[in-house]
Amino acid sequence: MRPKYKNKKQKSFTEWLKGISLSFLSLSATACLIGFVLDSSSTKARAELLDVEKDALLFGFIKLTDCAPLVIAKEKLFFEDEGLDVKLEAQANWKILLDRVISGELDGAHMLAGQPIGATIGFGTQAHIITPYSLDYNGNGITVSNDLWEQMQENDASLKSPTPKHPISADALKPIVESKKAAGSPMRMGMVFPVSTHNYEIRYWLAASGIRPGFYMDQASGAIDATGTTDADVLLSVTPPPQMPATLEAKTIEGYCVGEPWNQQAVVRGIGVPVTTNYDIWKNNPEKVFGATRQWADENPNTLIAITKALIRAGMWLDEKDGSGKYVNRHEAARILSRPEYVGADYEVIKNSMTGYFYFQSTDKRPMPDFNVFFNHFASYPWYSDCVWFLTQMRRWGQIPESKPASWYDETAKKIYRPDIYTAAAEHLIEEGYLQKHQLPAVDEKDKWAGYRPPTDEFIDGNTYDGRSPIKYINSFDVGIREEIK
Amino acid sequence: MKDEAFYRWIIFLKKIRFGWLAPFFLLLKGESPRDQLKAIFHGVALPLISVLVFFWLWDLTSRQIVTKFGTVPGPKQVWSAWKGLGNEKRLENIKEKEHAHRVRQKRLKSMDRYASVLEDFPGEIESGLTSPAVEAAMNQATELFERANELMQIYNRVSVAASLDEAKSTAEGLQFAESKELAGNIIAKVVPMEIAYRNHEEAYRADPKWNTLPGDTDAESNAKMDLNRSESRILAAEKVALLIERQKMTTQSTLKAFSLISSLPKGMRDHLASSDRAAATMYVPLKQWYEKVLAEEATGGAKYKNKVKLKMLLKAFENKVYTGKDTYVSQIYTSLTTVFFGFIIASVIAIPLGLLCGLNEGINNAMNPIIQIFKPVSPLAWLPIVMIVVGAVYVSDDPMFEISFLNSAITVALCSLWPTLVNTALGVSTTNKDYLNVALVLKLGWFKKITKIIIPAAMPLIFTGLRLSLGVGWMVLIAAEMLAQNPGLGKFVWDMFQNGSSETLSMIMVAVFTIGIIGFMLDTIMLSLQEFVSFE
Repeated sequence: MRPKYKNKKQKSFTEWLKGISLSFLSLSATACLIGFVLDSSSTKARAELLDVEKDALLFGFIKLTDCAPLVIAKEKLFFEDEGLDVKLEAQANWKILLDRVISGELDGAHMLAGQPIGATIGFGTQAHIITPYSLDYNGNGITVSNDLWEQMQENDASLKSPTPKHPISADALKPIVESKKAAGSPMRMGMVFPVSTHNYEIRYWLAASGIRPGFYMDQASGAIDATGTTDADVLLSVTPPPQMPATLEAKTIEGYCVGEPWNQQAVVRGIGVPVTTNYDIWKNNPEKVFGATRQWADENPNTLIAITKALIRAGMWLDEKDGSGKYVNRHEAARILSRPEYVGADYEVIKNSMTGYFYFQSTDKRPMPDFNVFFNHFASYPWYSDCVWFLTQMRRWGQIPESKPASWYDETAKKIYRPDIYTAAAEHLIEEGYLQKHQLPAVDEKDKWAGYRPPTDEFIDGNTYDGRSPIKYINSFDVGIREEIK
Repeated sequence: MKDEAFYRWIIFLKKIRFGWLAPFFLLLKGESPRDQLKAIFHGVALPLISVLVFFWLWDLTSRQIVTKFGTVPGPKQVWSAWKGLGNEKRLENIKEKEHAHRVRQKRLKSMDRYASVLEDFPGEIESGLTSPAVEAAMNQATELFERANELMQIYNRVSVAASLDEAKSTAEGLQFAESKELAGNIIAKVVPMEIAYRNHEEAYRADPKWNTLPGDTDAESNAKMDLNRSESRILAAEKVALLIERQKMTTQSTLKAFSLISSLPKGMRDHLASSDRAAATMYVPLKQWYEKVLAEEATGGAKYKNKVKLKMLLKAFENKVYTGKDTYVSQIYTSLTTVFFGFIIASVIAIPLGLLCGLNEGINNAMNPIIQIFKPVSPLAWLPIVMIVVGAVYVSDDPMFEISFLNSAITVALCSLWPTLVNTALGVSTTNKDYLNVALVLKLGWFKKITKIIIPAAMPLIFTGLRLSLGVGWMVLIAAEMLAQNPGLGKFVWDMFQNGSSETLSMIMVAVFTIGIIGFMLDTIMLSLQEFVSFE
């Protein structure tokens, strides 16, 4: 690559530039040598870098272990490989996080799966938010206070064991809820946000045992109730995840549904007992997503693909297993997450669930390899059916006050979930050799229902969910608003 | 005369609130030692004793209180947490260096990939940047670069050699004298280092004690992770040191080799010394070129076929800022900036308003209910209002301030303007009647009366107000930052609280002491300022 200097006397600025570029080239050989020692990760062949529109990015997150793909993509330099300089900033709560994404202070964020959906359909704050990447499956638990656990054990003798049989339903809770309601002080429980998975999960769990968690509207009069406590047996209220254990300890609430590490925290501090995880409520349920506003996505299409690429690589890194099926990178991930600028809880606490174990009581440690799934089982693909499930639950509890046709569910899901971006990113990664074709779900583009997961009955109540017929699903519940079938 | 200077010094000390030092000086001078010793006892020994007693009591009681986060940390734990925060800064520095290195590496790769674009470099941008003198220097430099290129190649060949003998044989038969010198340097210094380093690295990788194995218990793998982490940190630091050392050597020997070096234009020397600065220089002409391409396209001109390549090349030369975490020091800095910004807003509003109120009883009566109602409002009540209003009003594509910064600064301003307002009004309205009579006698105009008589007379009280305002502002700031997500000390406290780890309490206590000490310093500064403006 030496330049041919035609005439030495007429050397110009161009040639000077070329000269510099050449010395850079030779320097690069040196750098590669050094790089060989310093950075062994970038040995794979690389295709052209994406032409990103914006490279200095600020993302928000909440201190929960399921922000891991974002943290790992930064710490393991997957963002940097895409030419992105990402800063992660912990946010005080979900509301502030969402507001700052909408106002443009944050470029994107770790969001509750229900947040982009709620915002787009205008429940709470109105803004069109899209999601190209699902951060994880599962990862939540329902914890009750020690007192409540003792009362549940009295109602159901089979729970009086250091290792009771799972899944534990809310059946043993029902008499306690009823007597409290009759006494005029209904039981209080905490969840994270009105459109959070936790809200729908604790509702699902309660309702599966015939306990009414309260509606967001009065069915008879049609009056809206933003607190979601109309006709309630149990009053659910919003508490930020990190404050859950403290609120439980203060007896303001008697139980809560939250992500990790805040269930394990209750066990470690001896203030509560996790009774079930959302893996038992719905096996492999969607949990958090990466969200950005539609406007931002339209202005920065390549950046979003680059972000998705880095996140996919982070998800793969997190879910990498060795021959014996043990996670290889989860210990390191737990270490990174335990740094004060990320989740910040003690390594001992984070490690449990991240490495595939869960303490139900201090005496009851169980292997739960799929407690947090980041990539396997196609967990990072933004399935339309996952979006539709949230919409059905929003309708079930009255957050969507008016009746909608089945086609609306499909159209709305396609507005919010963007597998096209995911697929574009994945194709880049396949080209670069980071990803194999079989690691992607086989989606037939021509199929009308492409992007829907097959029907499943892996719920705690055995009910079958088929995203293609949302109205039928809404009407299949005993507790909940029903649609009229025209 | 000497005495006079000495006493002026003593008075100055007292004014800047270092009066407790004065007895030491007086004692040295031998002035009534009894009194001085007494003053030292009161001014220095007593406060010291009380602080020590406080620490002792703290140490004693902290161990008795057991919380869910463990026992309450004593002075020792808080001190080690503080030192930990110091390490945090050092680690961030290493990370930043590593980042800079990776950026350069990528830049080189981009150069490799897109250098062909430079064939099309347009003439007019070139001529805009060059003059005959620069041109001549450039010509010379190009030749230098050709030779440097050879040097680099030699450097590469020799330094990758596996043994000293191999390096020596590679270095044989070199053309330029300077190449030989460089090769000699490399053989003497770099190759042994490189070999030693490679051995170290290999030994490190081969040793099973560092690798977590599937059969390990949790405790074992934890211990290994810990070791690995600290070890890899040390290695990283060593790598960086090695890298810097090596770059320095290359540069030095290259520079030394060129006897022509003194005639090099400064820019070229910089290129040799730092690739980052080379990048900055490259960036300017490339940017001009790219903008020209865009402008031509916008006016319907021909599209440049290598536009994307050019853009990617340009991007490679952009200045990349390291986006690490906010360190404790940077959080303190953010807090101070915010509080001063808010304080200035408050003063700009409060002083003129206070003047008006003080001058005119009518205005004062009219303003009084508003002041009395808003004065006791907590920052926690202001903040949501400020957040909503600022969020709605301050909309900009390229905002000068972060919204979170504005939110906390304005909240600080809203809470801290009242003491200044009230004190200014009081100071103005209680101006000594004699002064005002003087103004009457001199027939001073309205404006002159205010600037020459009233404001100077009210100065001590205005400053009392400002001092109180700054104190209030500093207190309010912490609460505002907690909620407004402004990355300062308040957010630090909130984040630590949310972490809920075993370090939570000691970290928060470090923050408490930091906040207290900074508040004390701010107060002291304002007090001494106040001393200087009082004309008594």
